[in-house]
Amino acid sequence: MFEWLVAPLRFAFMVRGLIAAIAVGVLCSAVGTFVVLRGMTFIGDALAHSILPGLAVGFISIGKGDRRGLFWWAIGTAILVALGMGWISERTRFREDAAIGIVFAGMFALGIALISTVRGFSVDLVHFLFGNVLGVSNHDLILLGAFGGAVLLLLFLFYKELVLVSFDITLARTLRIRASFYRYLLFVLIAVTVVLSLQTVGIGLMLAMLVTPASTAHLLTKRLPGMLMVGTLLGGVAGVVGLYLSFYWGVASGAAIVLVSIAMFLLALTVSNRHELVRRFRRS
Amino acid sequence: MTHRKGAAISKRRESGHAIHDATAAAVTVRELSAGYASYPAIVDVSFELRTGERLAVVGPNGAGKSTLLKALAGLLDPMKGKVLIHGHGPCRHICIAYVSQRNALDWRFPITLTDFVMLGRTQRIGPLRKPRSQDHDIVRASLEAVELTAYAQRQIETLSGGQQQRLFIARALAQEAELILFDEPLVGLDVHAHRELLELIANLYRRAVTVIMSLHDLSIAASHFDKIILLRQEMMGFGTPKTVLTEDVLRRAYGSCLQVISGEDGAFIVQDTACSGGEHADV
Repeated sequence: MFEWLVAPLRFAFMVRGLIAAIAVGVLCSAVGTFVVLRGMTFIGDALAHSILPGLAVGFISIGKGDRRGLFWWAIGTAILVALGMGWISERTRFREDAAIGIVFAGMFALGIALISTVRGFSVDLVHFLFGNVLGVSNHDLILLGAFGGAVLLLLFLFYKELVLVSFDITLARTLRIRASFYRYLLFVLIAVTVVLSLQTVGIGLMLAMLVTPASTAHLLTKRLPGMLMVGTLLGGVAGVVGLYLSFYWGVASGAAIVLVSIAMFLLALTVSNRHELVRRFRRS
Repeated sequence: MTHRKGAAISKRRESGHAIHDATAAAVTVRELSAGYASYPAIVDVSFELRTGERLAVVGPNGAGKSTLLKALAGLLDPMKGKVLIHGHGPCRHICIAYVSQRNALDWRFPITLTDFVMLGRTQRIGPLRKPRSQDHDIVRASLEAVELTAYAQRQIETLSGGQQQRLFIARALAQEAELILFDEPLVGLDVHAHRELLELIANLYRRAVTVIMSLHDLSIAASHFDKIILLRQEMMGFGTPKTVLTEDVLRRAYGSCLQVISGEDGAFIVQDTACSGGEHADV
């Protein structure tokens, strides 16, 4: 058993992959808690596609230089896009999902238009959108640690205010708390999380991690701190279990992690449904 | 330069916690017009309330009841005129509790009753701080005052409509509110819950909290409130129930499709049910 657990760790790429999977799992689940509760799960997909014009412009300006610079173009674009989404939903009577959709469509089209004018960069961009958890470099891990740490710290420091604006923005306004500031902060934290995860683990795994562990935790807990803790734990565990399955069964790593977290969700659904049935039975 | 900086800081501090002007009325509204996108939902409304008075806001659907409450809470800027709460603009107060219609919130949100009430203290706790033991005491006492202590650790979705309204009152108490604005709190509640809620509000009255509530039931407005304001975009009447609920005023506000019945003491008890045909969204 011990040998079974240790064997994958002899490969450096597996160690880096495990660290990345745990970090992304924890980060996405923590931020995803707010995403799920606000009903804006669409934002992950939208942000991932909206950074395309930024990547295209970055690609053109970097030329044959160091492709790692693309990260800064991506994160800069994502933050601008997130602020734009927040601004539209604040200034108009649209709900947040409409604002997200409008920016998504516009930016994605702009990205495609830019790409169509230049030849031969689809390969690198595809790599950026479909990062591979087993291809993570030390450089990626450093960025993930620094930015991910900053996101978690801000989430912890402004937890009380972020919960307030997510649950009842009218109360935040009558308490004269800077509601817009905290709303924009939340959008920016989501944007940074999406870009970090995107380039380390790819779009599919990022979307799954943003929504699934938090939703599973929502089924199992009745309080937010509990939901955050259970969610981050499940996110990390899904990463580890998924990678081991991938190592021994030869399944694609990202898909294995997603399937493990979905399995956890289905299990939680069964358990919570049974509780609900028992409660109804006792009541009647 | 230093002096200037000091003035700026003290001004900022004031903006959160305006000191009440003891000589001013609790609520002063002067020639107020307010609404959305250059369309005024209320026009030229003026009235005054003393501390501890209870005001019922009545009028047909779309009369501007919610707009008036939002302007009083400082959630909506006046197009014209003035709102003063204890002598200052509403945005300089943190003692105004605004209770929106219940369906404006997502009750599945994973917070307990205790968490919900604690949200009302967010500003007093301050940024980057955790609740102190004093805050926990106040939250406990607030839940006790509305008799919800037994459910303190339950998730908020498990409450009935009446209990949810009482929870809002607990939150207003924890906020140390001195003016509470209720937007149609009686909608969807049964008669028993009506009575419970109104009794609680009578207790608030004893605590010298000013209460303003929009509602449809004119007989409740007449029996449980000191003053009534009757709106139909313009102010059709303001004063004690006896002076406002006269047949003449009511016919002007509601039109002809209205039942006016003579009640005790010559007061009118009126049913606001006949005009359901042309309902508008409440703005």
